[in-house]
Amino acid sequence: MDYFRMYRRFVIIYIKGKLEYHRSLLFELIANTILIGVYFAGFYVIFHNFNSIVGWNKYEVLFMFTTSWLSYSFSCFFFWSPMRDIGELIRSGRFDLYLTRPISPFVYLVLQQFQYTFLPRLFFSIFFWIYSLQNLQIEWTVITVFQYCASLLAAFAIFSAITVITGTISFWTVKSEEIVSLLTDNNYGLKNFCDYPIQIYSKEIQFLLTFIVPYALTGYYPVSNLLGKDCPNLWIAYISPVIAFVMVIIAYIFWHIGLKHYGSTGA
Amino acid sequence: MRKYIDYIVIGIKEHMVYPSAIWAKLFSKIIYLYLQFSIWTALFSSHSQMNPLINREDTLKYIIVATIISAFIECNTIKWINAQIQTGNIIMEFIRPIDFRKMIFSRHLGDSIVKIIFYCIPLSMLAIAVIRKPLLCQEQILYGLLSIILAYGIQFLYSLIIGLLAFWLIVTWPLNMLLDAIYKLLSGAWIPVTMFPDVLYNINFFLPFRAIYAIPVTIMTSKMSPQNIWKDILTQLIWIIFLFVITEIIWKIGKRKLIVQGG
Repeated sequence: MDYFRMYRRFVIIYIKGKLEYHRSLLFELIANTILIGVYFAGFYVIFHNFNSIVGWNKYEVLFMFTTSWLSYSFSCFFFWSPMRDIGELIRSGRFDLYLTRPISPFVYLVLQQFQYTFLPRLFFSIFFWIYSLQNLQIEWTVITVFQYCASLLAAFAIFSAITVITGTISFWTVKSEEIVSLLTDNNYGLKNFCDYPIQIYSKEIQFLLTFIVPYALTGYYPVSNLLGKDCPNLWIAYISPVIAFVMVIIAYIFWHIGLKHYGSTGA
Repeated sequence: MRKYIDYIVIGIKEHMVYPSAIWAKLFSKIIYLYLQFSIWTALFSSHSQMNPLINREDTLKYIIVATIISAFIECNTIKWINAQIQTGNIIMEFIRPIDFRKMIFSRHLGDSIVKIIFYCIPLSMLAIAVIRKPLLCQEQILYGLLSIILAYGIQFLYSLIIGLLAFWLIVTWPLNMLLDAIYKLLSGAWIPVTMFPDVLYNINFFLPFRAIYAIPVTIMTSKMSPQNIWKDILTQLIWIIFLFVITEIIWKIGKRKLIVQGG
């Protein structure tokens, strides 16, 4: 468990560094708390005016997207910040530094940081996840618990794989921020599509969200399966671990191709 | 005057440097418009409405017009002032024989011209092609335009005030992020303010945010009595005067407070 020990050391150093500017750290956390809080407030306003959306009530929608957000927050702790910064690292030539370390550059990039700005999102998600569970009647059996946990893990893998793939694009274009924000921007990002049941979109978008950028597998399919919703193509919920596995392999191969392609910009 | 026109041109050029970025932004705005349209259509067609005062037609028109307007009204002045202060370049702006605030406004104006041409016009055409119904309320279009111009001014002054706070705080992006979130909800750009629960509606009544989207978009899209229109426009005028006075004060004090880094 060398990586584990290493990660602990790295995170301690990282947090110490951040604590040097403890006021800005505090600001970041407060700003993120308000950002996520306001999102839930908006959600509340919408369901203050409407009882349900395409047959899903407030608690079901809430349960669906907090499920997805739980995995998303965990994935972002590790992968979001390295993959956001990698474009800048390559542009400035600082990525060379990562190549000279005794561990693989990917492991080093991931282990050396901890994106604490997603903590407020995680706490809100857990809070509203529990809140929605209390208002839903779900018959938990050994099988459904197992399925639900498997889907959480699969969601973690899917989010991480997508993040890594978008980050890897910077090996070619040197400017991947736009692609990253196209997917995960808080206002415009494609990820926001999956905060609601995807039946509300056209067939093409549903296909896109299921097979090309499979965000729908992180919340919609497993949860509608669990709640026994009458939705088309629910069999996809059962193969979500397979798709997650495929995504991880694609991300792995893609990263290594990118790495081989990397020619230093010279610094 | 001539030099400010030059700054407008600079604003235009700056935005056009990366054509691929313009495409990416237009694309993301189309996605957002589609997202908003889908959600609200689905909400109304689920027959689960609890608030009798809202209707599908008006809400959809409101959401579409608000999204299109937001494409040019939003202002990156805060980011720009922040970057200038962090790099120390702001001192260069002070040496020049121009008014700092007018210069920023000219840049913003140039930026907005690009945004209207490359984002608002394509988005409007797309929306009209899909909806196939008139989006705007014909009789009130002139009042609507006047209101949008006032909203543009309010948005700019608001951004300028937050940006100038950087004279004291040096970094204002967390503050900006925080206000962005509140702004997104309270301005009515995301959810029409008529849907707010009473408490939130009443609080919001005394804040400037609704004067930026809720007022102009409502005048543009839904039929109102002339009395109410003038009342709304008057509200905007009061805000614009109030914010202008605040900017003057902050500017006077802030200029002396400014800490120039490096340089």
